Amino acid sequence: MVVLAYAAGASLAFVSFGAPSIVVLFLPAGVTLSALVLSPRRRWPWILAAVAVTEIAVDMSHGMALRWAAGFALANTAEPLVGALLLRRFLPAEVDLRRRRDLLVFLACCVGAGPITGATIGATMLAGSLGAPWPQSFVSFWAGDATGVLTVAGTFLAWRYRPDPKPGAVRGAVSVGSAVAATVIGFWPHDVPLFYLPIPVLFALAFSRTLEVTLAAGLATTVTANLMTSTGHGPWAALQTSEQLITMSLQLFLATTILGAWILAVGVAERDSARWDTSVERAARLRLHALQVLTTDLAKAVTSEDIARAVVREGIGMIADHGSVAVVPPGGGETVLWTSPDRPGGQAPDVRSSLSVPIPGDDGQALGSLTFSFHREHSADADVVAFAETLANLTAQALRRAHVYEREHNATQQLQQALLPVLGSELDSVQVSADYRPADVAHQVGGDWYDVFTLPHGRIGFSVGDVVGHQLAAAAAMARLQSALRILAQAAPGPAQVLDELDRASSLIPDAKTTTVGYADYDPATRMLRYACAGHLPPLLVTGDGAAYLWGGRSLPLGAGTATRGQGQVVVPDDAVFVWFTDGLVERPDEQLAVNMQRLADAAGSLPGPDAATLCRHLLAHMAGDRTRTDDTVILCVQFTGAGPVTPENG
Amino acid sequence: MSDFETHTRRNADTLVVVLAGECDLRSRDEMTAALLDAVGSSARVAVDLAGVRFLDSSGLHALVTAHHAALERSGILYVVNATGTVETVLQITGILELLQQPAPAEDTAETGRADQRG
Repeated sequence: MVVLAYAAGASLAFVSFGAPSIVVLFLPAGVTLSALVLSPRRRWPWILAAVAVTEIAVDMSHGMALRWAAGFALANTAEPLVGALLLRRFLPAEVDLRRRRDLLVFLACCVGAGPITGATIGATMLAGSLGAPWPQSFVSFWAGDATGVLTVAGTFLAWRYRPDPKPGAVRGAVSVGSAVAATVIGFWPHDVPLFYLPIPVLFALAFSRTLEVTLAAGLATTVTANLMTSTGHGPWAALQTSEQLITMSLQLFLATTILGAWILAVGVAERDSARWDTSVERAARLRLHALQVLTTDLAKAVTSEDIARAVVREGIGMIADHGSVAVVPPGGGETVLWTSPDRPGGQAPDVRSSLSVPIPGDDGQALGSLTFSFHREHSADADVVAFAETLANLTAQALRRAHVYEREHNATQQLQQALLPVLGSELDSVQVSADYRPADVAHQVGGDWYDVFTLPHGRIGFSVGDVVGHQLAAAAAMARLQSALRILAQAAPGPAQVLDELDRASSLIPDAKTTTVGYADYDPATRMLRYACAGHLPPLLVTGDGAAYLWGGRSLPLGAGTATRGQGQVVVPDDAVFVWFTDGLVERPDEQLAVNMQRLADAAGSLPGPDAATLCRHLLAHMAGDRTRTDDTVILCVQFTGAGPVTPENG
Repeated sequence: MSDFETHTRRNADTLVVVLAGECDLRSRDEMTAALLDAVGSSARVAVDLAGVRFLDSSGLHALVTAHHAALERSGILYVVNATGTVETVLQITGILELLQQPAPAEDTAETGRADQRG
């Protein structure tokens, strides 16, 4: 291939550019140099030998004597050898002609030193064979070879070491074609100086296209300009001076133009590289910030769903155009998929590449996976993969925490539900409505309770209570106290005795100390309501005349002291509603308890003839509203229906 | 978040524990520890509630727990300067009566009164 290219170039020199009458553009100099630079050193002898033989053959076929032909062969092998040796001495590995240093080395070794060697030998041969004056021969020999190396070897090396091996053949061809066209137009008229036309074209290419395309266009411009000149077109063809001067100044003009474009390309490459570094740095900074935001959100996320939503919202976009989070539920079951917004469903057609990483679990079993989709091909480089794995690990930590929480949450919720009574319709002399709002919304468990149950002789018992604390321990103590109270109430003569016995029992129940309890019983036969409060807030009786607190039967909380307990009693009118609650309904850090109790009474008294359920909802909404609860809240409303059949024999 | 402070000062033979802020679930452990420390180091402890804005069942629990610890050591713990909601809560639950200051017939009358004014 080297031989063919060399022979073609050398023949072209003879045929088109008029060698050997004048020394002209010598493109094969670039071919040989490129062949040496791009080949391992052990092949160099073969390349040089082939070039020497070809040179001699071409020269002798044009009628040159063997010894002069051998001399030119020496010149044309020594020249690339010197150039290649020196270049490889300074640039042993990759030659990036977009780098300032590499360009300078290339110019000094291959455009300078090599052709100077060749020109020294060549000028001697020309002086001997044609009797040409040595200095002029030297300069024009060097100019021809140097331009050949600059254009041909420049193009080859730039092509070989191009950073982005994208084809872009059409754009390249259009670019080279436009350079050729500009040269043809520029060199057509004799008198109008249009020969500068290729300069802006080459500069524009240097600015907007890759170096290899620019240099290929430069090579095409050089060949075209020489062909035009040798066929009598352009300003150089019209010059009335020595042909050596003409050709030399033409080559220098072309070489200067190409070199100018080349230096511009180097500058553009340096600027782009600096910009790239800055943008990479900024992207890294943005990613770090986004990661911090995500970490904060993951720390706040309580459920798997919160976590997946946070990752989809803030994590995916950090590295990918779109993506999704798949989570396998801890107990097995169907995998749940969250996809980044504006892309519901599966992959869209413009996804060119994607990356999936597992969310690692403790036992080696994945908790799910993260999928990142990109609009560009091959987007998942090492950085992206590393970041994706970091994200997966963060997600895994949050998910493991959430799974523990969700297990606990489900257990406590079931426990709480099981402990609170089901308010059925089996009680026909009263209507009951109740609500329970735990302070700890996340845990849905607390130490407050309410209870309604039947007693012997048709009586009905009601209790409300508040164990100190909100967590599971409080819920356990609450459950025990509630059960103990139910059992004690069956045999005790009245509320005061029930609380007395509960007080004694509470010493055996962990975490029961200072629990406040309210207990009342109601006898439908006599409409007598008896009640007692162990430190508990007083019940509210709502009648047609308004609402009033019942302040009788007060005593200390459970486990607080030894004073005896008393009880209050009241005969309730038809459709009166008895309201009992825990402190969460009326106690607030920034509000007066007495004021809130009055508010509650006013709110209860303001409804004309309410039923239990309406009153319950109304009071909750009025007292709690949308505010965050700092304490558990229980409200129990019991309406004593007047018309119901009274069956004292029951029980 | 927890807005709760405690410090102690000695007034003759009475150790005065001054509480301030909110005595609720978040400050319960801190409050209980402060009160038990006081009961452990003095047979006569006055709990000054003047600076307490809020006291819920957790606060009551801490007071009752410390009261029982004092009884076990034949000591006494009482509250002073309860006002507003704090006084209401202590009254409703009966704790104010349980933890009332001993009758001023004893030799400690002067210090007790001083506390109440403070």
